[in-house]
Amino acid sequence: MNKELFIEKMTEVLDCEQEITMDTLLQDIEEWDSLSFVSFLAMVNVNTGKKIEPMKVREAQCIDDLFKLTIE
Amino acid sequence: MITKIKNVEISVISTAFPKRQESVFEYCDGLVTEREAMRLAKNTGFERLRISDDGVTTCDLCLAAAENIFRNVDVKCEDIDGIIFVSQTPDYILPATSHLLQAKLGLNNDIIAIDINQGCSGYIYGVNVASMLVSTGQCDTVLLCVGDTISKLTNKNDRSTRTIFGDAGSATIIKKGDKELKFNFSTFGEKYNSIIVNNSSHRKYLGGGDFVGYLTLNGMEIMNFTLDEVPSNIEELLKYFKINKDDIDLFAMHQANKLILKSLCERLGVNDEKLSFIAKSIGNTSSASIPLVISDVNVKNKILKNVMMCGFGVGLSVATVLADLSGTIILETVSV
Repeated sequence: MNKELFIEKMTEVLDCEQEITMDTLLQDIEEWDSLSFVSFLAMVNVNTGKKIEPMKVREAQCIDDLFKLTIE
Repeated sequence: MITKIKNVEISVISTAFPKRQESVFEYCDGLVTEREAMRLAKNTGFERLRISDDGVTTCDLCLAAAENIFRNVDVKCEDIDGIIFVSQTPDYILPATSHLLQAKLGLNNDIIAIDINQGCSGYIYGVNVASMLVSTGQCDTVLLCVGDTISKLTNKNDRSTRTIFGDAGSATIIKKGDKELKFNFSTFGEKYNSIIVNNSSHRKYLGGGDFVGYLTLNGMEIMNFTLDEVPSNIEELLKYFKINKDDIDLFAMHQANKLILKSLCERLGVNDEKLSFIAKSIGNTSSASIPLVISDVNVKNKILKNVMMCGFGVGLSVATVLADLSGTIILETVSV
């Protein structure tokens, strides 16, 4: 999954009105909550087959941190 | 554990849910805004929930489903020589609810009555034990009652449980026949803590928190578990019995939520016609969700020769059975 597709998928996961970039801080996104955590895991699993540790999702600070989890 | 049981059939399936139906937004008054309720509904798929009143238990819902069978199908109370009740919301810690149902239904005294403590995969466990009773010749006709009233275990301040769980019961007749049931069970007790009601019985929880005594879910653990273990359980069963996935007419999956089912469609490479989310106006009803899928109006006209029923969740656990339901009488869901 490249960065462009990742941003597209994250916009669907978050279902928010604000524009998302790789630098967007997760704390600035109102919709980044337990529902989005689960939705993010599902999106990554379905698109890459990867299983990401819940702790790493909670530790992420920005969208790019989440992207890095998908290519580790 | 892969196994098969011969010379049985699932002859009748009946379901019941409470009359009371609440919109998630109204039911979770003060817990979610209207926009949050809409966002939740888009992801979880649940817009309305079937909620039992205080005086209505799982036993009552299963009783209604069973009475519906005796009223509408040529099965008599005196034909039943075994009753199984599967639930995690029984009437009492003791006595067993199967005994209460035996009396309420007026079943014979010389029958075997068993309670099984299982949740999301409970329907498959019930079908397995009932089929064993029949195939060993111990029983001719078993009444399997499966259901839960998980809404009674949710905390009104917990968004992750309060917004998804509904209540329902079911009754199924399993008797001697010429069919074969193919099972696969997987057990992950090491993940027991992912779905739990602490302080619900004798093991005391020493930690604090507002949700002690209520159902708690670890959403991320469950999502990872489900997307790993459910496809592998199903694929293992198909491979063992040399069955092509395309030959499965229906995947009747536990209705955990829409996001999970949509993701399972992708992981299994199955379309949502065959693996549907039908619980939009019911909720996640734990052990009752699989018979509710079979009873769904949109499923009734489908070919049900090869039906893969799969329960997954609390335990943690995955349980699957491949069954021929082409001769099964499926009754319309009753409201209690």
